[in-house]
Amino acid sequence: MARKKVNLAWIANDSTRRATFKKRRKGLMKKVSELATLCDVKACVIVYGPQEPQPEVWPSVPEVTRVLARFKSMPEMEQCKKMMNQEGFLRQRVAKQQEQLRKQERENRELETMLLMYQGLAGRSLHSLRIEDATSLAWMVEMKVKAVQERMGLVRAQMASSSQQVVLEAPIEAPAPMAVMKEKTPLEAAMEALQRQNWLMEVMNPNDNLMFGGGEEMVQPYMDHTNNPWLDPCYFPLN
Amino acid sequence: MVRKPSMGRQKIDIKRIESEEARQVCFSKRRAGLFKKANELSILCGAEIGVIVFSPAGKPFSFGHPSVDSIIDRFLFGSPSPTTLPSADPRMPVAREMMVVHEFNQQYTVLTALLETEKRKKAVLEEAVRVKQAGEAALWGANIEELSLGELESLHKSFERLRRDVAMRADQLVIEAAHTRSSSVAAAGSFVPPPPLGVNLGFGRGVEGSMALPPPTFFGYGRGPF
Repeated sequence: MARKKVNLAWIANDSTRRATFKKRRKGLMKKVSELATLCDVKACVIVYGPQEPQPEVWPSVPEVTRVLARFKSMPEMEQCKKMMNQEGFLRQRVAKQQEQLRKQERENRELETMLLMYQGLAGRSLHSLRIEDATSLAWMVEMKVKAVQERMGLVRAQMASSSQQVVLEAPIEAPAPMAVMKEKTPLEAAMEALQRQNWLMEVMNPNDNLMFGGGEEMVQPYMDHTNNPWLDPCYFPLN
Repeated sequence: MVRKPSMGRQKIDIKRIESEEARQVCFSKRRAGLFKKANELSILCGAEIGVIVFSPAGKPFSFGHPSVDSIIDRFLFGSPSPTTLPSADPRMPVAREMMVVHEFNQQYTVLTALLETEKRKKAVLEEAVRVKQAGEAALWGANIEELSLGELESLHKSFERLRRDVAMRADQLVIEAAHTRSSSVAAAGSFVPPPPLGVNLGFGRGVEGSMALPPPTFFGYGRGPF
């Protein structure tokens, strides 16, 4: 099959158009037949050639009538929801291409900003930076700073906890020893409170094997009573 | 990260697909392809076409040119296309239709060309970044998870320094902009004082400072800014 790109426009040449029509109509019928078989679904195709009063259909006239009847019997909204026409199709094609373009532009912007960042880190002047470059760069640097801070906190906490006897179960993220972020989500704050209390109890009862499971009767003086079921101690078995 | 390529064209038996999930996937793809072919046929050859399919779940999908309803009416009740003028060439689609197609095609062509340009730009930028990361930007571009605490601390210092530098440049730009504005306004007879130096313009002064400008909607991409 010849694989040259076809300009999506009406074929002016009569004989070419007629040949294309025959070929593509045949291909269309084949495709719908495959779809119906592979996916075990009902379908129909109706094609009116440019100068043919009689349409060519698939699968057969009576079947087509049945499919149309089923279609028409559905509520108006259902029919229209996934209804397409030529203009809609072309419009969608353009929209998709636009989205691809935007996505690529965004990616490129990110790469450019990264290069600017490296330039700045290397000590080279930022004098030529325009306002939009400065904005993007400020944002990227901000993200980087936060990420590095978080990672440092994690590493430090891991090092600290391995030297202590307290072993914390995996799902609890160790809090950063330095107040990195002023704003914590209520969950993070409560989790921190939970751990602080845990360490405190270790200190108070150094010889007790601290079992946190089924501790409904345990008094938790340092923990705020939140309504969050997640923070219920029986959900954090430590053993 | 190399995305694993799909398995390519596989020869398939034309019989019912047993796996429900695979059947649904096949339906989505082939339905889209079918509609695409029907659309092309309608444009290339000026044919009037109707396609109706039901999904495995029973949802109706339809394509019709000039419209699904007009094709159904024509098929069931034999109504001829109402838009055909006696003088018009019955073989050729109406002028309006051809104009619409042409216009959308033009838009598509322009976008495709722009996309090509961006793709070439991407290749250039990716190479530049790769070179940097192999050289002077080895630490700055490294994966944070793999760094030692010492390296992290050094990195942190570098980024904080950069943050200050960028903030300075940004403030400078804001002041310059205000100056330009005030100098043009001063010509009209009124005076606008520039913001006093040392005022926190809130440009990325660390976590406590609020960002005066909203973050650009560029990032938040799967790859992450690193």
